Amino acid sequence: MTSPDSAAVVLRVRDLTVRLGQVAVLDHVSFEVRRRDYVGIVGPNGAGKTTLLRAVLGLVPIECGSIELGADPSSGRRLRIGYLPQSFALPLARFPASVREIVETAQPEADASSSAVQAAIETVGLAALEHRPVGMLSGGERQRLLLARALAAEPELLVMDEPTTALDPAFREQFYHLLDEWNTQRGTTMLLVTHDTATIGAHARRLLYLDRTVVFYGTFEEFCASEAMRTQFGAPHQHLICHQHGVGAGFEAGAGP
Amino acid sequence: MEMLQHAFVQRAAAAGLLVGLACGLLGVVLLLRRSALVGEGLAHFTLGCVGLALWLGWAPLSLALPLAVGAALLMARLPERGTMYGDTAIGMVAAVGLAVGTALAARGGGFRADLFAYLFGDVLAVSRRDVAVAAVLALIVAVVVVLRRRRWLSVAFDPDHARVSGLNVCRYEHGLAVLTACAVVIGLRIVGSLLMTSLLVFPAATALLGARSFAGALAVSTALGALGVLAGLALALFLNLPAGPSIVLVQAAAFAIAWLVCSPDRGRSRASV
Repeated sequence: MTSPDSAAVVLRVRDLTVRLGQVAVLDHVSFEVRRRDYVGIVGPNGAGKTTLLRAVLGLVPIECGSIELGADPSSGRRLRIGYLPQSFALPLARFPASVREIVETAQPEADASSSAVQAAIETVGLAALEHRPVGMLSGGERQRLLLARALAAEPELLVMDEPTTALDPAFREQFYHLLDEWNTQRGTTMLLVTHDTATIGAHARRLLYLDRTVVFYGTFEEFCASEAMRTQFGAPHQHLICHQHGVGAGFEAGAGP
Repeated sequence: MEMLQHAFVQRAAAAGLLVGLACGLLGVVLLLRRSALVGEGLAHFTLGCVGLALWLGWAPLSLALPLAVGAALLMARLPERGTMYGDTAIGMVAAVGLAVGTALAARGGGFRADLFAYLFGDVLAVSRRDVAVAAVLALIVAVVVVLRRRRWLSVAFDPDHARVSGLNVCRYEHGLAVLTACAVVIGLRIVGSLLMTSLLVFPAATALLGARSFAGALAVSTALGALGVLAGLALALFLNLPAGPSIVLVQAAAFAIAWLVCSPDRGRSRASV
């Protein structure tokens, strides 16, 4: 019998270890993500953040542990996943595909509906460029293209790897509001790797601090109340994140202003 | 025009047209997957298969087709285990094929002349059966590539995303290898083993120079593949040249013209608009 709580789990990672050669890039990582959660994953360079996402998506072999991606409990069907990589290197400078054609690959097996494709293109502000070859896009436009492709899949879980690095400040803000909207109104579960710790505090509800293993995983209130995190993260950094989230560092859990 | 009355010319034109269509479609996917050398490797391997079939006294295509399909799957699967790069596997399989063909040719026998016909192509050798097989191949390739072009584009553009979206990328790679093997075996009659790669590479490379969409690239490459073969055959007939080299020269000329028209400088100026 499945309890209501366990049914709400979208992603369960247990004791995950991933090695690249002799190096354990991820070492016994365990955490759970529930439906409608918005998890920000932070950590230093080389902490294994990208590897964790790629392991969750089944793109790297795991040495031990398990990863369970929840299906729709009512139908048992596979979870619809949107994937937004950090960037993409065009395999060919003149890759022969238009913006619209790439967004249409959002769900290649199911063929994304034309309305979802059109809506995604308009949402990211690429409507005027929908017939432009992808090789003629700027770095920021390419990032918007990837976002449109991820949204056109109408994902239940959106997995993002430092998606804002190529975006201009105005669209970056718009981008975060868009994620908030999808999370709150459509119930899309968010998993976001970022170095943008100052901004993530204002949007995500949970924080996963990774340094090859899980150093911290919990709500921002718990993070801000944690003396251990103050030592680990540094007081100014912790304060900045907590300030963005509207919680003063050193507050007790759940004691936001 | 009198030449067109001959049955062998009609058969060569029909088979060439169909193989050109199939190679034009497959070439776009192969080039975007950076697998252009798969055709070259398979062509060399297949020559060995033909040599083996002739030595055994069998019909060349009946043995070459299954062996080439097996070799294509081997080329696709060896790099999957992470033990070697794709071009290493292609080089190894091609070398083995050539070694077998050369060794059997050296053993002598009356089939050596037949083997050379497969090395350089021989339009006189195109039979009605070859035309029928080419028609079936062209139909299968057209259905598989055109109707599933969104999936092929996904695999070519971003294989990681394709996997995340639930696409079985390996199945598509294996399918591409098998179809390419079939095209190579059938095309061997017309252009020969040494020049077979040109049917897969030139039309697609020419189309990619100016294409603004995947659908456009497939359409242009298919048209260039078919027209290039027909124009090459016509050139061969009127100038009394061998067919294979004539087809390659026509396709190379088309690429050169397209490259001049769509030079990188012009591309940059368009991009800046």
